[in-house]
Amino acid sequence: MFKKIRLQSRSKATFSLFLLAVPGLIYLLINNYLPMFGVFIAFKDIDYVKGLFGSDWSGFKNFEFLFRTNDAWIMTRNTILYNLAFIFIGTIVAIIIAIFLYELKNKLATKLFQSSILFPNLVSMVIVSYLVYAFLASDSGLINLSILRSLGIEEINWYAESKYWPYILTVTYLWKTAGYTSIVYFAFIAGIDKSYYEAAKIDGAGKLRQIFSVTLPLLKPAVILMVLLAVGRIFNSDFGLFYQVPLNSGALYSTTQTIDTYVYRALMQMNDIGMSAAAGFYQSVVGLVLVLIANKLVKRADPDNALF
Amino acid sequence: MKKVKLLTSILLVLALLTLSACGSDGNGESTNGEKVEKVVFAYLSFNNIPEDLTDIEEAINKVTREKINVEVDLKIYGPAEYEQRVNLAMQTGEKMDLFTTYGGFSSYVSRNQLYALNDLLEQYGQDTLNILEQDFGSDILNATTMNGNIYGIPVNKGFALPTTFVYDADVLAELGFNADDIDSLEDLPAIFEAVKKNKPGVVPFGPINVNPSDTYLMGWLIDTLKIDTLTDQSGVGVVIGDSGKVVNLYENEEFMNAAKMMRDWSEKGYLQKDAATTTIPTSEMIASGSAFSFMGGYSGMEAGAQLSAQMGKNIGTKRITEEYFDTSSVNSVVWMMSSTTKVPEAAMKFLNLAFTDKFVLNTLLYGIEGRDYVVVDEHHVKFPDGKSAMDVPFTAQLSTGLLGSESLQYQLEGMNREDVELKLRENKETARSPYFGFIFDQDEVKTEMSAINNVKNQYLPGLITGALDPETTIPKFVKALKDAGADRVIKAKQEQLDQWLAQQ
Amino acid sequence: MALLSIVTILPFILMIVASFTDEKDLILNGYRFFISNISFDAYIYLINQYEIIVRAYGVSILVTVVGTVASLVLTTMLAYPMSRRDFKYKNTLAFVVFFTMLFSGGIVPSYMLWSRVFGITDSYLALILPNLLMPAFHVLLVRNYYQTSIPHDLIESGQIDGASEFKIFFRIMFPLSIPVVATIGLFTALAYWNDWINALYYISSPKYFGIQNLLIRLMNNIQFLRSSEGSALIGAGSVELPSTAIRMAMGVAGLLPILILFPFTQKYLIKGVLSVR
Repeated sequence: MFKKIRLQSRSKATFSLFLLAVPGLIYLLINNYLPMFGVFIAFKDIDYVKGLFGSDWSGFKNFEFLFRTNDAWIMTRNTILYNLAFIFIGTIVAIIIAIFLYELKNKLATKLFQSSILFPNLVSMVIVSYLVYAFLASDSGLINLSILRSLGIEEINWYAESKYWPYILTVTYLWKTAGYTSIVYFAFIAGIDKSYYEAAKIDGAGKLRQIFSVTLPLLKPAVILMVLLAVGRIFNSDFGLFYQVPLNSGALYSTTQTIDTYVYRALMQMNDIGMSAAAGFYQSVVGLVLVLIANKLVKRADPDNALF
Repeated sequence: MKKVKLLTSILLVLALLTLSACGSDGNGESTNGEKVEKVVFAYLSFNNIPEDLTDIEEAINKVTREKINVEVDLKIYGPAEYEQRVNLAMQTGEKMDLFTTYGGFSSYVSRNQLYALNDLLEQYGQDTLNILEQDFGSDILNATTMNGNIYGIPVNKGFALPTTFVYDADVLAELGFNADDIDSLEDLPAIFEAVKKNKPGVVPFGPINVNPSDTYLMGWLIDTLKIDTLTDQSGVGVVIGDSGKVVNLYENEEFMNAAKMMRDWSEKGYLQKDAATTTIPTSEMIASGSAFSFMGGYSGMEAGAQLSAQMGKNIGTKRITEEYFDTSSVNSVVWMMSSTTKVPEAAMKFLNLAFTDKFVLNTLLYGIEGRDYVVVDEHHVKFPDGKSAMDVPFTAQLSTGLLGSESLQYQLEGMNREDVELKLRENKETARSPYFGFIFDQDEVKTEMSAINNVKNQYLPGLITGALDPETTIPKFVKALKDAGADRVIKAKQEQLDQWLAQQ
Repeated sequence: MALLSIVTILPFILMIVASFTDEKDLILNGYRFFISNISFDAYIYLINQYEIIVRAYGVSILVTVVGTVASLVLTTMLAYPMSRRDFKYKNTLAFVVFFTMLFSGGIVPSYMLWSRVFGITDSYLALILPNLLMPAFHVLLVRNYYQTSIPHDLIESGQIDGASEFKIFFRIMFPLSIPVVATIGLFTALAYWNDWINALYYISSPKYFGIQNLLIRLMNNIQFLRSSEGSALIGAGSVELPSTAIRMAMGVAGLLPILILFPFTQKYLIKGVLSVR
């Protein structure tokens, strides 16, 4: 008797929950899934007279330019390495900042601090490139002019030396995004039940111990989520960061060219939507495969925290 | 269950799309009861674009309804979005009839986006053909003809852009030189040295354009050696003089020499160290008194006066090469008709008026007489008293370089009419390359071209601003180009060129 | 801590200083922290266009507020069922949502759909609906938050009390999710405020220009005019090219409302966090 009631309310619950989800699902259908049919453009040789639907199929021809030259290897390598560095370093820095934020007793300080670290995220990459230029310009930049010159060290032509840029771009990336990411972790830390900390304190744990035994483990789901999402976008990159900030300098290509900048530069003259669709498709497929693998691994180790 | 729902929704929407794709074009009635056809005409404006264009459209339509039974729908976009909007309209099947491009002509052809104009010009474009012959020569349409089809009409203006040295005339005089001392690039180092010695803090020379940096070294080289670039800007696959042989310009000894000269200039401090990546064009530096000169391609003799007004300094100009016409000198700005147009005859009739009707052309550029501009004399206009380009309800005065016929356009008061006539004379007198009219179809080597573009952007700015050492860099550059497929491109060009020559 | 704050604000100070610097000075000396020649030219140029700018601010504010509120409702409604361990379809929905983060048909099909089928060009809907209304990332964030920070007992007790799922959602979950809602609310508001891409494709009529869209158009036009294509295309006539200083001033103008409003939104974020504590 009891069971029957539970079963009934079970399916009723499922139905109501589903209803709650419907508006969001409709939006996804319209905004994301219906336009997805455009993926086929990557496989067509678009002829405008015949239109999108009437053009001939071209197999993988539009994909060729992505694998043609040595550049292909460099851009892929750069994209992956930067993303790995960003995921790893970015997560650590964001968590540290989030914990600091949480521990701040002074409300005013928290507010001010939180505002300031978020600022960089609001600025467009074009402006960031001007700001970086202010520091790195060879004649008038802050670093060459005020720092190196006064220390007697020979000035560096920053925009012509590619070896410094992995560091420059990573720092710039962190400057722009760490604040944003830390707020995400901050929200999760805020959701941790205070009683856990009480229990740890009773056990004699100091602040640092509390962080390692309470905060970090309970942040695991959030970290796994963010990392999995980042893995899915491992073949993508922030175009503004890799194109605008190095001021589109050819000398830096070996360390600043990513798949997205390569595609843009390649197609700038040609405006070929088949080729750009192919590039996007390539990035998506790789991302999907990697996430499926990563998700399987997570499922095996920690089933509750898998993405799906 | 979900999958079925998804599928049916998709089918439904696709059905809707195809239905709406066969959209109706609203046709109005003209005074004599015939159906008036509407033409969409898209052009670029560098001025402020007003929200509402109906009064301009009405002013034009009053005339066009009577003359050709056509009403125009104006689409004016700023330079940053023009190409995107036009392309998006064509890709998604929106109505787009007449539009223009800068440099993209052959790509539009190879993507089959253009309507062949041969018959239309014969029937409805005689006035245009006449004025083109008058202002340039009947061979002008060769530059927009591929496989016997005329795919566009170049804007009708002065095309001769000889390499011109632009400098701060006051500084030149101060240093004790005058314009006669400047005949070729070899004369410049002496002047630069004087600038360096006597005016520290003033950079002698800089790039004319930035992002990417361009000192116009290649432009100068092309004029001097009489190079035909065979309609693409990559530099891979050019013909020098009348040799008929397609070669890689960057393997040429002259290129190495030019790069070495620029390197020498850079090392002597005649250019900034970061000339290759600076974001400030030299013209702005001259305006602030921190640079002396740059080089570029300018038409006519009035460039100095215009640049002086722009920069607020006394600017002098001196030509240092003779212009040489290849196909891309003429087909950079081309007016085209979309291959998806439903009203080709009406579009041609309107385009004909845009090129030959003084009233229609100048309304498109200057707006409504009395309100947006005031006539000064037969050839000149000015803004109404107390107003400037920023205040009038409508002006597209800065678009004179991409619309219609220069011989019919009004000029702003103070500009010299004779200069226009000079430019048109030079159109006739400038030497044409033997391959004028050849257009390269990039489609079969588009993969290689995309890789080549990347290589070019990587090495060229540094080489033409003297930032990189030519001896070590050019071999690397050439090798990278070969890896990207330069030889295939050269071969393809040679084949197409030989074929074209055989047909002449 | 303080050091970190300074580091993040430093470049802004540079920007603000640059916007007040005389143009010639900027070109001669580059960016400095100390102004030698103050000039208000950049701001005067902007103020001359104040009508356009004020209207643009209005548009941006309207779109941001409406868009954010709608987004919060939509996002949480989808995220909640996904977070319930006992919901049959939670993994399916998770995959459906996540998949959209990876695959996209590109602008062409989206444009065709929104503009031709739904006809939203040149309207406020064009600024609100495409792309920004419910980012998949936010849905997953909220889902995770519900999963980890809200104990299932609360839901069970609600069920035993006979409450419907809707009631449980609105009465119990919503109030408890303030930290995460405040967070994604902030992110969404920023996304709407900073967006200019929707306007680029769907808006031609200047009365719908938001502030970022306006600034980006102006900046792009300037950059184009400075490039090789631009200077070749321009006919005769002197062009008032806004200078470096004006570009900085435009950047500052785009940030201004955020700089002003930010401290106020902070109040809610902190309050939410503290209430859960």
